[in-house]
Amino acid sequence: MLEQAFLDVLLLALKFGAPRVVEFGQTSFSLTTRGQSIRLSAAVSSAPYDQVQTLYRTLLVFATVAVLILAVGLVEFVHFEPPGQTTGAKARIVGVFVYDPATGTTLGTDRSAFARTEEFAAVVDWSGLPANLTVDARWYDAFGSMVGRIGPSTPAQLGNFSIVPVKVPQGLHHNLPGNYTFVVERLQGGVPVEVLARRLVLVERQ
Amino acid sequence: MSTSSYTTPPAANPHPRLRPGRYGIAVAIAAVVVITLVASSLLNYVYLDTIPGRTSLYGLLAVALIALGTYIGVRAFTRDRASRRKHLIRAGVLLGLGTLLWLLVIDIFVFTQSAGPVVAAICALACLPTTAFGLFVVRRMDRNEKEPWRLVLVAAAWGAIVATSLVIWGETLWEQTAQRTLVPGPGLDASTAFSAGLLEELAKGLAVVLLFLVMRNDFDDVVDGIVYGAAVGLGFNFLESVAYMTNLYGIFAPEGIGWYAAGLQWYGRQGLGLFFGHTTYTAFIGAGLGIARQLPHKRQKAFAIVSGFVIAIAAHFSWDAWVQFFPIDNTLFGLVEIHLRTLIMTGPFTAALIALLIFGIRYEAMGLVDQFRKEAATGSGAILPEDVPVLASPWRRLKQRLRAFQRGGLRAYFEVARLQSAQLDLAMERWHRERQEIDMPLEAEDALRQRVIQLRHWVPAA
Repeated sequence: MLEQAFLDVLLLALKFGAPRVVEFGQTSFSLTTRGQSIRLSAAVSSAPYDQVQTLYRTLLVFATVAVLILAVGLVEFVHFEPPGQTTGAKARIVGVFVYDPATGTTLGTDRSAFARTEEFAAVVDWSGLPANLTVDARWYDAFGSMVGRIGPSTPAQLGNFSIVPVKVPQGLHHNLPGNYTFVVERLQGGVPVEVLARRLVLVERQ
Repeated sequence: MSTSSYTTPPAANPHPRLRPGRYGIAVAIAAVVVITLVASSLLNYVYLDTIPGRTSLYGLLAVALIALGTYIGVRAFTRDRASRRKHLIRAGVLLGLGTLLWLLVIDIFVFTQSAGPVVAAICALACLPTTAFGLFVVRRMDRNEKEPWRLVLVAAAWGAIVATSLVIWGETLWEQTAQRTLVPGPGLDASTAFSAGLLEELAKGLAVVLLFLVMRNDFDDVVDGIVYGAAVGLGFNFLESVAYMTNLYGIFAPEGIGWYAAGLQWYGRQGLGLFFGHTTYTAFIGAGLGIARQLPHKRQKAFAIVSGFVIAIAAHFSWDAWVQFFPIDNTLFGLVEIHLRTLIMTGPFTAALIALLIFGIRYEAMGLVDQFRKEAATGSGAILPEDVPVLASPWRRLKQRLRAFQRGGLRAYFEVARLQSAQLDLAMERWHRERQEIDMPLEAEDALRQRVIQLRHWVPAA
């Protein structure tokens, strides 16, 4: 079946070069190409070949390729979201605060929304995490771009780096608006496999 | 032309007393769509209480008006001339009200909040000529029997309004869930790409499926399927372009580069990507349905339809999931890379679609030529032996119309055009009947033949 389909795709390519009407007798004729005439036996040619079948088989070949593409996508998803990666460990995000880049400190109270002119940072408490984990903390903006990161390292080594600020993208004056995601992740083989804590923050347009 | 001197013959295939089962399927699909719209909009409003949530709730009435108007409008053309005008006016009023309401909702709750209605209107105006050009090209691709503008525009309108409505709600829920549960990065990107491919192609594809089920007389083969699918894709692309342009303008305007960001989006979606993105994806769904139209067995029909959807979903997924692996340099060469990226990632799908289209056009042409000859051989007078080489070639048909124009002006041109169109309709009807692909009575073919003969009386011999 598959072989037949590939032959038909080959045939489809040949058709573009040499389509023609092949007559049988005086009144009835079948519509085939030179390539197709070679492939069909004399016995078959008396019953005209329905070229919709060629289109159908070509479509099936394309669909097979499409299924492969989706399968690769599924493998990619499983690779970056491996099942069963739950350690039970939980990180604690103290909060998200206005950030002063001059002093490197946070100000005010925990907030979930900021103006785009405000700089802000998350504060993480690394002390509750097992010492043998490799972890990092990241900010993602609404476009999925990473706009702030600390790590990767062990919780003990990151203990003094509890403030994770959002960096304004290069060439821009302010943060882009939209939903920002802050995550503390566990890494395995350099790839994040588990979210230990998560916080969503809105940067308003105005 | 003195068409008023005789009664307009019935449409190609007049209604049978008992409607085919496919009408039932169409009604069921429409009911599922409506129920889904209502349920998801209510859920969004109650649980999300965001701008899309409100839009979805207030937009329901617009969607219902457009759906009803579309149905009445499309069916009006199968009615007799006396009641057609009344139904068309009704449809026009409903469509107008629905469109206005929808634009109002969209403007107020989405675009106005990000950039204001003036920016939204400018973005929409910028996208109109390119989308119109796309629809013109897509319709012209069917060289033998062009689809009626009303159906092409209906397809585009459904792609723009109904499909995008379905997608907003589905994708919002998917995104909210994924954002709260998955690890950010390629896995989340893949999930989002699955969401876009699956939901957007299903939403767009439903419009093509409904056309396939309800307007069977104007859905002849793979070529028609590609035309309708592409039209739905162009409509979807139109509204998505407006949304992205307006949104990015709102984001980057405070930085002083709002119009630059919107312009880049316009070029990417309405210039470079006009035929590559949504147009190609949904055209595959149409191709699957068009091929299914002419297959003899139900199992093959089902495989063809599913194949069309799977290809569309995979093509859409591959772009959304892997576009990040094709980085664009922040240099002058980046401009070349943008074009190469589109060509490499979507080009193969578009090329495959063009292959199906070219083969479909040739196959259709050969089938019609066969029927021209057979009809000429009957001696009915609808198609004469000397008509066959003219009807077989779009160029010769055009030459014949131009000769008529030189002789008798625009009126003669259109008379010949009507005659040619009626002869092509007759050949198409014969082709489907010979292949046992229609569920309508033989009288339809006789009516078409009589129409050709009547038209011939008004057209001097070419």
